[in-house]
Amino acid sequence: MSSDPVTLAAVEIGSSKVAAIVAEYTGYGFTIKGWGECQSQGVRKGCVIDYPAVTQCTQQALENAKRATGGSSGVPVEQIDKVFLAQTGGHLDGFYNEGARIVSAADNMVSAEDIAEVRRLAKAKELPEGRMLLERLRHPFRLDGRLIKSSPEHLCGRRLEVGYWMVHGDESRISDSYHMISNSQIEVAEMVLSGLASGRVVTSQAEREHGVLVIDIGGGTSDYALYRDGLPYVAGAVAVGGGHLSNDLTIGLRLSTGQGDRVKLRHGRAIVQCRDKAQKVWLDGDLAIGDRQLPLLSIEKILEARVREIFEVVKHKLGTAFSPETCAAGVVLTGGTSKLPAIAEAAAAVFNTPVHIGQVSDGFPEPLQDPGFHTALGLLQLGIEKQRAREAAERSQRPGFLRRLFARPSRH
Amino acid sequence: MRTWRDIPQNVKPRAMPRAVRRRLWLRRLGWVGLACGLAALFVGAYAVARMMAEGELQLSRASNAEPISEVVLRTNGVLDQAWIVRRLALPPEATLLDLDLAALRERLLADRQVITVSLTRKFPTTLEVSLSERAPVARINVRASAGGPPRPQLVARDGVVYAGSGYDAQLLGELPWLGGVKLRRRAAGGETREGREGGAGFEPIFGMALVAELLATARNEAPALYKTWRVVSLARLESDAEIEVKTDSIDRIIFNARESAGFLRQIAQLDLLLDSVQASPGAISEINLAIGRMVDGRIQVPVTFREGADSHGARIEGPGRSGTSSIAVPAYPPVRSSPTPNFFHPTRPAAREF
Repeated sequence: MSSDPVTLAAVEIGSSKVAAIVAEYTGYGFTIKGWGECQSQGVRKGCVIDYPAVTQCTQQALENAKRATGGSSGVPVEQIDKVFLAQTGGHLDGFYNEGARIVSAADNMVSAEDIAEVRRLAKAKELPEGRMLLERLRHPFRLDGRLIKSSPEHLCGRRLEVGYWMVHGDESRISDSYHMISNSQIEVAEMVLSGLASGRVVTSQAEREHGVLVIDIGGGTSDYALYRDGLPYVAGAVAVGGGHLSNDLTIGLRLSTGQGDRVKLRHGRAIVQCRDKAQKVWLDGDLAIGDRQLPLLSIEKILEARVREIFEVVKHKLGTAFSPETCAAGVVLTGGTSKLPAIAEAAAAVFNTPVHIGQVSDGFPEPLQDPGFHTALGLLQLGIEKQRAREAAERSQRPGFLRRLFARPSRH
Repeated sequence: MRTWRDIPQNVKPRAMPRAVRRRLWLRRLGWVGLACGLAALFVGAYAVARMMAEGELQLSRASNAEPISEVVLRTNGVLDQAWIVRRLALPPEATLLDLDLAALRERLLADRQVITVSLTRKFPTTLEVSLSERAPVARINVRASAGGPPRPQLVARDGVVYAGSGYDAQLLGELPWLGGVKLRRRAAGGETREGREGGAGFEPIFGMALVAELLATARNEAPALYKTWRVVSLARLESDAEIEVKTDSIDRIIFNARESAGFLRQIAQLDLLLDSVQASPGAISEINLAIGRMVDGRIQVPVTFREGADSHGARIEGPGRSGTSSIAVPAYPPVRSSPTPNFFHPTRPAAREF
C-alpha cells in the first residue's frame, strides 16, 4: 500500500450483528478513526437472506462508525477507500492438497523454478462446480521431510513438498456478501475468513508457533483457525453458534425467542454447576404477567449439551489436524458467545487442552476489547498485512529500470 | 480456479442502498456541474477573446478609416459650429485615432469663455464636443499693452475676463461697463499673445460675484432702471464694501455690498425714491443707499442734488432740512452747498416692503 493516507474499513457481517471499524493507514501503521455496530437483520448462519436489510445494516454500521468518535474525527462513508470483509457461513468448506517435485538441479539445490512448480502443483486442484476459492493457507515446505517455514530456495534436498489448505465457498453466497459492500461504491480489497481474523488478534506469535486453536463462536456460526508452526494450518466455519443456544432454550423451556436469549445471558452457563433440581430462576424477574420460574438445572443442561456439541463439531471438522500434542498453546475462545460463563471449561473437556478466553492488546480502545469486535479488529490487521504482501509481490515481479533498459525486444 | 477476486465490482444502481444512490447522483451532478462550469469558462474565454479580436479589428478599421467627417458641438452657451471648427483646427485628413484629445481640450480651454470641455470619439468619423460656457455680466476696457488701444472685454460672474465671441451685439450693448478695477496680470502660464488679447492674461476680478448679484437683481426686478446703468465701479468695493453705479442721469448711486441679499431692498428703495422725487432725474447727483437711518420706523437715504438744479415738486416726507414733516417740500437746497445731505424716504411703508 502506498504511503499516502488511505481510509480503510473492516466489516464483519455476522448473524447477530454487523461490526465495522474505520481506520486510516499511512504506510507505517493505522489509526482507528471510529467503530460501530448494528443489529444484524437478514443474515442467517452467515448467509444473506434479505439483501436490502443487510445492506441497510451495513450502511448503518459504517454510519455509526463515523459517529462513534465524534463528528470531527469521524470518517464519512463516502471517504472510505477500501473495505476488508470478513467471510463466514456454513457453506464454507476446505480441503488439503499437496504438491511434490523432485528437485531438478543435479546438485539437489532447490531453485526458484522448483518452488514455483511445486506450488503450482499444490494449487492445481480444481474446485467443484459453483464453488469459489476464498483462501489458500500454505503449509510449511517440506524438503526430504524437513519442515521449512520460509523459502527453501538454495537448500539442498531431493524431494520438495508443499501443501495448501484451500477454503472455498458457495459462489453465489460469496458474491452476495461481496456486493453488500461493493454496492456502496467502495472497493472490497480483501476477503478474510473470520476465524483467521479473530486468531490474528487473540493469539501471539509464540502461541501460533507452538500451535493454537482459535474458535470464534458467533451468533449463527462458529469459525475456527488452527495454527501450527506459526502459520494458519486449517480454517473454516461450522453453522452453529450462540443463536443455537438461545434456540435450544426457547424450545426446551417453551419460551419466546427473545426470552430464550435473555435467559441465556442472565442464567446461562456452559457446564452444569447446579445440583439442585428444585432450584428455580425467574424468567424476567419483574413479577409481571407471564413471568414464571424456570429450573436452573434444565437451563444449564441444555446449554452444556449444545456448547459441547459445538466444540465436538469443530473438533470433528478439524479431524486429524488437531491433536492436543500439536496444539500446545491450547484453545482460545472468542466471539460473543465466549462470554458465556464456564465455556472455557466446557471446551477444555472436549479438546483436552488448556482453554482461555481471547483478549486483545490493551492499546486498543476499550470498546474494541469486547469479543464482539475481535474479528473486525483482526480483519483490519490481517487485511493490511495481505495488502502489503500483495504489493510487495507485485513489485518484485515488476522488472527494474536496468532490466527494462537492457531487456531484449520480444519477438512477438 | 475461480476466486472471489473474479467477482465483478460493478453493481446495478437498483441494488444500491438509497443513501448510496443519492451519493452517486450527487457525484454525477457534481461532475456534470463541473463540466458545465468548464464549458461556460471555455465559452466565456472564447467570447472574450472574440470580442477583443473584434474590438481590435474595429479599432484597426477605425484607425484605417476615413477622416473625421463631423464635429458635433453641444454647449449651454452661444459658441457655434464655426467657432469650434476654427478653434480645433483639425487637419483635413485627421482620423479619430490621430487626435490627441488632451491637447485639443487644452486648446479649447485656452479660450476663457469655455469652462469645461468633454471630447468623445464617436466611431467611425464623428468627434463630439461638449462645452459649458461662461455668461457675461459686464464689459471692461482692457489695454493689451501700455499705450495701446483699449479693447472691450467681457467679465463673467466668477471675475474671469475674456474676449467673448458669438454674443448678440445688442445684448452686449446693454451690459454695463466696469470701472475702478485694476487688472492684474496672471503668472507666466497664460502669457500668450492670444491669451493676452483674449483677456486670458488677467487674474479674475475680485468681488464680481457681488456685482453679478447686484446686476442680476436689477435686471430682473427693475429692468427700467437697469437699462440706464452705464458704469459699475468697484473702486470702493474692497475698501468700503460699496458698489457705485453711474446711470444715464445720476452720477453715482452707491450700494452697500456688505450683504448681497440686501440688493433687492436697495434697488426697491432706489426705485421708490426715484418715483418719489418727481423732479427731473438729471437733478440728482448722488444717491447713497449704503447708509441711511431709521426715522419713525422709516428708512431715510441721503440724496444729493446738482448745484442749481430744480428740486421743486419733489415729494418729500420726513424731517427735511426745514425740520417739517410735510409731504411736499417745494424747494431743496443744492447738495454741494449743503454740508449734510438731505434724507428722503419713500412714501410707501418702508418696514413692510424693505
